[in-house]
Amino acid sequence: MTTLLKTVLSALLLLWLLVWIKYRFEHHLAPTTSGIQGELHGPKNDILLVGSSHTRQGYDTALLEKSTGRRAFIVAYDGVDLASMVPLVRILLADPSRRPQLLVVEANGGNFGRAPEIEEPRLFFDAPPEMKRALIIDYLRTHHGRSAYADTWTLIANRGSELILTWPLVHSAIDGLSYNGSYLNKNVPGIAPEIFPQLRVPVGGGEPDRDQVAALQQIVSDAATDGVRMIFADPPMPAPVEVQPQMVALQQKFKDFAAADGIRYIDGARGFPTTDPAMFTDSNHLSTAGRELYTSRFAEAIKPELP
Amino acid sequence: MLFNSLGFVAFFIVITCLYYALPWSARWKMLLVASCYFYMAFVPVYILILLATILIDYFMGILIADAQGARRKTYLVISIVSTCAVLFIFKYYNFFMSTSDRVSHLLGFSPNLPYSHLILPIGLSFHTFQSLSYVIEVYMGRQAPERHFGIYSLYVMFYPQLVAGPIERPQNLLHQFYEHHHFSVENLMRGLSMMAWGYFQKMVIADRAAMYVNRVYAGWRGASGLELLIGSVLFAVQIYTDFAGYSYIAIGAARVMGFELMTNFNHPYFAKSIGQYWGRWHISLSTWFKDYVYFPLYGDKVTVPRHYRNLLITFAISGLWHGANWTYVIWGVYNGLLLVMEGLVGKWWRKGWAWTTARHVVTLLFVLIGFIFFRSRTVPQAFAIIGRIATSTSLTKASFEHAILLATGDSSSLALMAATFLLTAGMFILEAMQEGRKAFFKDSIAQSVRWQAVAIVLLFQAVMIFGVLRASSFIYFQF
Repeated sequence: MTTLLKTVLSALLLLWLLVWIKYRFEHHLAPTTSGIQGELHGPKNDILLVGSSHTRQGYDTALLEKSTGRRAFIVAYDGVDLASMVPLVRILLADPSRRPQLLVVEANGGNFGRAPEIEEPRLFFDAPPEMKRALIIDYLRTHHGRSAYADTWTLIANRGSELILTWPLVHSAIDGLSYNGSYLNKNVPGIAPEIFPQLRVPVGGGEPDRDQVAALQQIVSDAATDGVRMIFADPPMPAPVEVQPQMVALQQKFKDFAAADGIRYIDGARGFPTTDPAMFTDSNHLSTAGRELYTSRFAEAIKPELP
Repeated sequence: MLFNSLGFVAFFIVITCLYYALPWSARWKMLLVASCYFYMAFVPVYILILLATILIDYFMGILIADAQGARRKTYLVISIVSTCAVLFIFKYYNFFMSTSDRVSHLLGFSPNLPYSHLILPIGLSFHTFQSLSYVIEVYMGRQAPERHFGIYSLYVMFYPQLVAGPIERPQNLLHQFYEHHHFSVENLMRGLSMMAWGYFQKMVIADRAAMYVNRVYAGWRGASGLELLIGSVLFAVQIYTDFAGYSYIAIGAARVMGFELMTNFNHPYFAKSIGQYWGRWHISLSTWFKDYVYFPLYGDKVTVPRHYRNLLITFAISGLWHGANWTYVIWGVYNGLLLVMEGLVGKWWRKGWAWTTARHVVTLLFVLIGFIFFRSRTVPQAFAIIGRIATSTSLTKASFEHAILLATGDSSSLALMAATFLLTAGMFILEAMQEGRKAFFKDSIAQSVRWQAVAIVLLFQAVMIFGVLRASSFIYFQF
């Protein structure tokens, strides 16, 4: 029995040690041309865009810089919602000397209507320990029961561990494929016209999630406290998605909340050729042509916001 | 109750503790109740089917042993027919009907045959074959009938191997239920280390490979040749590690309580011929078919054409055992044909490093092609996939990028794919070391409690950190 006890204790102790090392240090292995670590360790940025893949594929940072004459950077993780953006924005605005002139937060109707979730392990992987802690606390506040603790354990110990094993390869690939958080030399084609009319995104009942609303107000409050000018922006989605009744309702609610807080809301779909399949690659991401067109329009729209 | 669930871990700990805490006379009763509970955790009512099979073969075993002359054969036939009837009703009825339907349509009839809506009881093919093995062995006079109904029931229902084998023989397992198993650190550590290796294979390798395989095969019509090639290679990895992983967990769980189950896998992908491969893959089933189908047909003790016919019949039935679909039958016949071909051209192989490597590669290639039939839903799908791999596999950088992106559809694809190949390579390197230094691993590592403790500790880390922690079913449960 002593052998068994020693084995079990060794296994648990070693696991605790490895997980602690993972938790404490994994963000040092993050890529340096995108994500949180890219933003924190590169030169100071004037325009900072925060959001999900909807944002990553919505802007061309090189083009945005050319059009505005300011340095721009995207911090985007797949499926990131407002709840996950709270600790993300806090960590990005923590150093007063590095705060941007303009913070652009993604206004995504689809994410606004769903319960908070951490979809992409890279967000947790890239996050420094203090942000990890905030993400966990927030997750346990909004999720309950045994499965919430199991999910948290998986998030800390297990998710994203492939990145540790493969980081020299993966991160050099990401570094080579991105410029300031957006795609570099990547041609994303438009969608086939016959599929286009069927495009939909899963949205709930058209009512915003309570926790997402609270997160939206928290971001506005944090930006104001830090003295950072912020706007909400929603890159365009294909016409069949834009007219989904629940999506229309959620976007309207988002606009109402933004207006109530006195924050400008840029509706990317306004005046954009949302019925053109060549502009989109799927139900909520722009093609290269769409990204270039939207970035040019967006650059013109934010010029008055820049000092 | 899946082996890779927290529920099973709790179940295993409780049952193992109870096993050693109880007096010897109560252990079999506890194991039987535990096995019933384990089986009923899937679909409770199906325990009645299992009970029916147990009852039939228990009484037939006794009747065969007590009868004389032709009546023995009659009881054997009754046992085989009734056990196979259960298998037919639940597993093959709809397959038979759909095939009849197709043939009728070809002949110009529309018979509107009735289809069954019964769900296949989990592990039905495994425990019916174990039951049949008992009756046949009693008939052959190689095994005395088991007159203790409880012990016989436990032989069929013993929980570690109930739903996916290894398919045990009565000579190996029955007597173990009468033995006094004292707690031993050696058994405990050996069993736990085997379980840890099984969990590693299932949760770290198989479930990770499955992510890519499922995506490729679900959208095979739109998949490129390279995607189908990577998906098929990964399926060969997945099916091996999924099933071998299950077997190791089963054998280890039994070993902790002092039971020795037969080895089911012996590094099959290191085989240098199809014959060798089948001596290493799902050994308990291969030997079952050899003993109860191939040998009764007089195996290779006949003329060469009849020997080849025997091989084809054995492998066709083996294919059908795996599933009620023509893809499995073709997979079986294909393997039989490979063995026939091997018999015809095997003598041309020469000795030497290059020839050995070539044999290894050719064997793996043919095994891989066979698994495309195994994984496909229909025969035309399998041929289309093979055709596309053969004719339109592009090895450009763009094709690789596209194929890798398919894993998750986003930037995490590269990490997932790289980690999958790295961990799989690590596993095969370990297997290669075991192949190369068999004596060292068998005599030193496998016998050393200290080395087993190290293995348990390290494999536990690998499973917790790199494993897919969502409990997913084992592929062979469907058979």
